[in-house]
Amino acid sequence: MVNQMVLNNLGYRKTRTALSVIAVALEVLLILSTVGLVRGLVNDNVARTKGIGADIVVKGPGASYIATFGSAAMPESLGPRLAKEAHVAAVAPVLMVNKSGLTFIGGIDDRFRQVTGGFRFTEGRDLQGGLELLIDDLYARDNHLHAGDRAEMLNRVFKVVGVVDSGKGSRLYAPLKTMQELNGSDNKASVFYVKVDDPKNIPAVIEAFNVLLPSYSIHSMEEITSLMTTMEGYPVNTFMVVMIGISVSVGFLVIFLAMYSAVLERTREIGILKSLGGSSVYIANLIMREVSIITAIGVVIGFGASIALENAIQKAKPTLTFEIPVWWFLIAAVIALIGSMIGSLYPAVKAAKQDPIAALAYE
Amino acid sequence: MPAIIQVENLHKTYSTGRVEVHALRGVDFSVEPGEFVAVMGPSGSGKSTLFHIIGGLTPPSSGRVMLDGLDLASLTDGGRTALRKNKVGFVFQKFNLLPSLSGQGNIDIARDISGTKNGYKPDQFAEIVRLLGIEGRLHHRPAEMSGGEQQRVAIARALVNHPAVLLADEPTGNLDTANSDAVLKLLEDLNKRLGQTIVMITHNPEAAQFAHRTVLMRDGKIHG
Repeated sequence: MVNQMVLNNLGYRKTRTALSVIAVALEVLLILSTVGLVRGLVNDNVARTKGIGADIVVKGPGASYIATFGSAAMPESLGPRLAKEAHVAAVAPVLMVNKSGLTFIGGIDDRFRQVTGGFRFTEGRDLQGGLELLIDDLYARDNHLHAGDRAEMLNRVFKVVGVVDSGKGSRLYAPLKTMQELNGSDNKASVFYVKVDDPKNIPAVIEAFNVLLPSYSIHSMEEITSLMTTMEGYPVNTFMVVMIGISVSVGFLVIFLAMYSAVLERTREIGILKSLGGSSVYIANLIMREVSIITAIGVVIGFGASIALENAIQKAKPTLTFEIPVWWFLIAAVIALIGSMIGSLYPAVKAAKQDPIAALAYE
Repeated sequence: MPAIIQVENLHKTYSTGRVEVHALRGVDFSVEPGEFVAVMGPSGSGKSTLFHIIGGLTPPSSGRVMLDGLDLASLTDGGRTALRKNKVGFVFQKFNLLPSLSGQGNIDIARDISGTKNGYKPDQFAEIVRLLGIEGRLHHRPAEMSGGEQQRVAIARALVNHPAVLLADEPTGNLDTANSDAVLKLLEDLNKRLGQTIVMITHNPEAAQFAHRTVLMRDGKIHG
């Protein structure tokens, strides 16, 4: 009977119920899309960084050890010096040049291929020199580019000479010398990717590098990718927490206002229930049940909207990786439920504390 | 047989800011089981306050109020809630049906709240519903019923848990003459057939004539 009354109450004010459901759905959508985009960005970065195949990453003093980009702080000549250390199989200098936003062009030469084992071509050929560009398949799909096409970037017109499988660091590659010239970074590199003869020798090589370059950022690839996965130190992690906080606040406020207005509107009904012997717990329970149903429907709609958004983004923008971990659906549901429960707490307590005589006299 | 309602030296004072309103000033009053008592008096005489205290809607300031063996003065808020659940049934002037529920839903919610331990058995209650003449109207919502029908549903709801006392506050105050007479006759009939104790507050001397006796109130006291 209580459930019947709760359902009838929800149907009695359809607009308010619909708005509350939409608010919860938006809350869930905002949580899941933020997590999906951040996780997608991080996981894609991790996969592409791992895909380079290096064992050690060397960056200049003060450089972020997680970010795949950074200033060209190191002389390229450091590469041959590092290569002389025991157990070092190959050292590849790469100059990362920002194209726009989070897209970087990796300036590479043959040494990059020694570390990575080379690219898998789906179209065209490898870089030879000059204003040539290699792009990965996702970038090609995203920008409708093929081998032989022209692409304007860094105020130059590059020729796309090949399309390669994604997953080896950058999405765009150009000859190292070209990038150094265009960037005004002659004989400079942003990062050295190092391949070691045997993985068990990685700690020893790092130790030797640290002696040689005490203030440099020198880390094993395993360490870097593990830090990237946990997102420790990532500004996007803070962004994610802030976005979740905002979405929970929106859900909380809408539920609070909806239930507060519902309690005011139903003052007389609450008085009637009290006159029938309804306890404070009984009255509060009615409000909480109503909110639970609103939240449950909102969560389901939010799930559907998030999955639809994920599919739409993957179709429209393949390079924008969107990954919602399955457990985040549960977390989003719990967050929405807690937000709604907290939002309904004051209205529920207000309803439960109504004086029955005053409530019955309410017009 | 002991009185089902025994009120002795009952006082109730409301504080509204700095002003104290003495609504009841030493009321002595009793009702025997199975009695139908009308309480009459002008506005401000304290009859509604007496109604609220006997019904467990508000505590007395001082004095003794016994209802079916329970001392209301000693009850906590939870105790008064239990009293409303198990011992009294209310009928209000404005019917006070829940608008989102049907007539049957309004009756069921009262049964649901009480836990149906002491209520009428279904066949007995069906007889009461038949007596009230609302069998065909129970699936309608209050907005789809006439005032008379709403009040009869409210009476059915008040009776469903077989209360010790039925408290009616101006039950005909919002009804036309024909419906008023019908409702008063039903109360009289329920009192006779079921032995239901009824305390009815009214302004109307004609309505009071349906009761076994009338208690007059003035200035917070009983005047005969």
